[in-house]
Amino acid sequence: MQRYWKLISLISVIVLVIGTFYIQSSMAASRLPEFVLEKVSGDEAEIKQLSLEANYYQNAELGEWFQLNNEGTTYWNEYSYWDRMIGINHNAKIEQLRQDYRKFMRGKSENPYSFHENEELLVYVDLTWDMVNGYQPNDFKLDIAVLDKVSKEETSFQAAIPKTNQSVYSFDVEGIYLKNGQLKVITRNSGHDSQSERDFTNYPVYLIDIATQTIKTENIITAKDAEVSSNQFQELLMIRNKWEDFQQPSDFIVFEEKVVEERMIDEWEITFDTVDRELFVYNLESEDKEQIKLPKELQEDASAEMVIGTTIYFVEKSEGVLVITSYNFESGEIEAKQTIAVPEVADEQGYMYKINDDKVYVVPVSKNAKQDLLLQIVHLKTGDTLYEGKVTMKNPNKQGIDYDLDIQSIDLDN
Amino acid sequence: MNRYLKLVNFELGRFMKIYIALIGITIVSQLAAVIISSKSYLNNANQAIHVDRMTIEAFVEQYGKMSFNNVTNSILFFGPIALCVVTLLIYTLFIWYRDWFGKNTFIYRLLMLPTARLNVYFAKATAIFLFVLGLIALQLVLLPVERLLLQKMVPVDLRLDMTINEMIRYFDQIGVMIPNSFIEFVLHYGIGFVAVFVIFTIIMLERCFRLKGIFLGIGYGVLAFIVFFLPVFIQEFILFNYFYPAEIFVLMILTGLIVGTGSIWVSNYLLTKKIRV
Repeated sequence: MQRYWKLISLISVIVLVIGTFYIQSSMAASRLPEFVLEKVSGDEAEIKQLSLEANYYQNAELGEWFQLNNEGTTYWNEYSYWDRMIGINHNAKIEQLRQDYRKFMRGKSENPYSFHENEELLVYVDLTWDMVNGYQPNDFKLDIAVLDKVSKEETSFQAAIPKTNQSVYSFDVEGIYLKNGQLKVITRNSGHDSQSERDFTNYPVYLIDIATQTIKTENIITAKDAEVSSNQFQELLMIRNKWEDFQQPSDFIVFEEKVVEERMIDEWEITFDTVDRELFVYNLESEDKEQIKLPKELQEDASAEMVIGTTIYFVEKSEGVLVITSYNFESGEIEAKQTIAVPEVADEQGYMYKINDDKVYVVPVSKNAKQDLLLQIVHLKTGDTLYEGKVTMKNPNKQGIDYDLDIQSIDLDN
Repeated sequence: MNRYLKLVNFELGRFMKIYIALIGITIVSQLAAVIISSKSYLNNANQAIHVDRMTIEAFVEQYGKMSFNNVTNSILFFGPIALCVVTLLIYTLFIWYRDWFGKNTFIYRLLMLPTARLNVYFAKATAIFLFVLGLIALQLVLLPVERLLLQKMVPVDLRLDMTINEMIRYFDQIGVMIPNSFIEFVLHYGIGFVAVFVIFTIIMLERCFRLKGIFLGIGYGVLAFIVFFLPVFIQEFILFNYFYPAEIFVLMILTGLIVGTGSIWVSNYLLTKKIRV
């Protein structure tokens, strides 16, 4: 035995030290405080699908990331290696599709905007990527795949985008529309027009013929020709869910056309003011484009942030309050206007909100040990507060300590 | 088994002097790194607070608090780590060549031992592996000691305390060597072990076929690399996004095992049939 002392001592040191380190670090996460969502009023069912991503700081600059939902807190270190590798933060919809259509989902991008499903079909549209050449201006192709959910039949092909006289440099798929067997894709193209010598951005709507595997241009949505002075520029935006959730356009897409003026405050600072704004709607079914006449009270600062069906949600933010107006462009009426008071928060960091299915979720972005972090869920049509809850620390032995919380995002698995 | 353990112990003994020197250099240099960075930070603080009449708050605002990051950025801290890495890499080659280039060709005696020649091979690989893990263990023991030293030197208002896990996570170079979870640890060092086998096989090829063997060895190394990363290459270049993450993981464990056993098998063949003294 004595002859092996080098081997024995080296192995025992290794096992002892590395073993202790990993046992200790697996317990380190459980030493972190447990946070819970404590109901103040409303229905617990409202937060079943909700989770908050946050960082916990205890008198340090380095945070501990965790996810908080109605079951409690899970820190990054508490996830298994397997979970972390596969990705905790994968889009829930993509995960679901991967489970349901394992074979179809292979070789497809992870962007939820590339998919659209209804009862019969699951459609995938994405820009192809040429490994060798990258993207060439004016030469774009789409990868298109259609899965018949009943017969499990899969059709996939590539088709070229019809060329125009303009040089298109960038091309993004913005939405997929599927109705009555018609497949349409809305894209955002930008480039340079050599005739007018101006950069442009437009939104073509392409009609994809699955039978012949070709793409036709149905319409190109452009900003109207307006004379703008040298310190102004035009902007055309498609209003879509800014929270990157899985939502494809219904029959209508709403566009916002803006004239923005650049104003120098001093040598170092420039502000951009919207001097003129118009909204119009494109009907994907009838292919009509129609201007939306906004009522007076929505002319000013309210920004259009989301469209559900025929309702546009306008958001106005000011200190301590969030005003959300639901405007129905078909009837031309303001359906509701909700003013949500947001309790004063630490360091004037403000709050975060998310609109989903007629509901708005509001939460301050940070808190410290002395403050409450109030999560509110308000119905946008009725104005009822559906749920109100506080983020509080559960372990009583930690309650004396000083800490900060930063909320990073509000996630909804729907 | 007994023969193998004896050989491992023997291999450890042959490198022990240099190994202990490496440990000594690491301890001295890293402790010096803590002392020097703390001193220079405190000098700055003294200068600012007593001469320039800054408040402590203003100083912290401007320069930040002293944390272990200040230490790990110092060459005295990561220098010895790099030295250990390089030394062990060189020794991975030298562990074989010293037996050929000694005064009397020691490899002759090793290969004539009444035991499977593969035991010699495994013993050398194990020795390298234990040397690496031993240094990792040393670093894990040193970190809390160094933290304690830093806390003794820098007053609490001026420092930002970190846990050992944070110290490792915010210092990328040791982050790879001491990963977050034990499973990752096993995976990282499993890959490392396979890499050692591949290098040993390249050495065997060179020892068997000399000049021709160098090219064979390079070819073998490239082949091993391609085989191991085959799932990734397929994913990136041929079937874009075809595999799900879990599948890539399982496939890479498989290719890793193929490369590992392949290397052992080739080495065994060369050692028993082709080796020249």
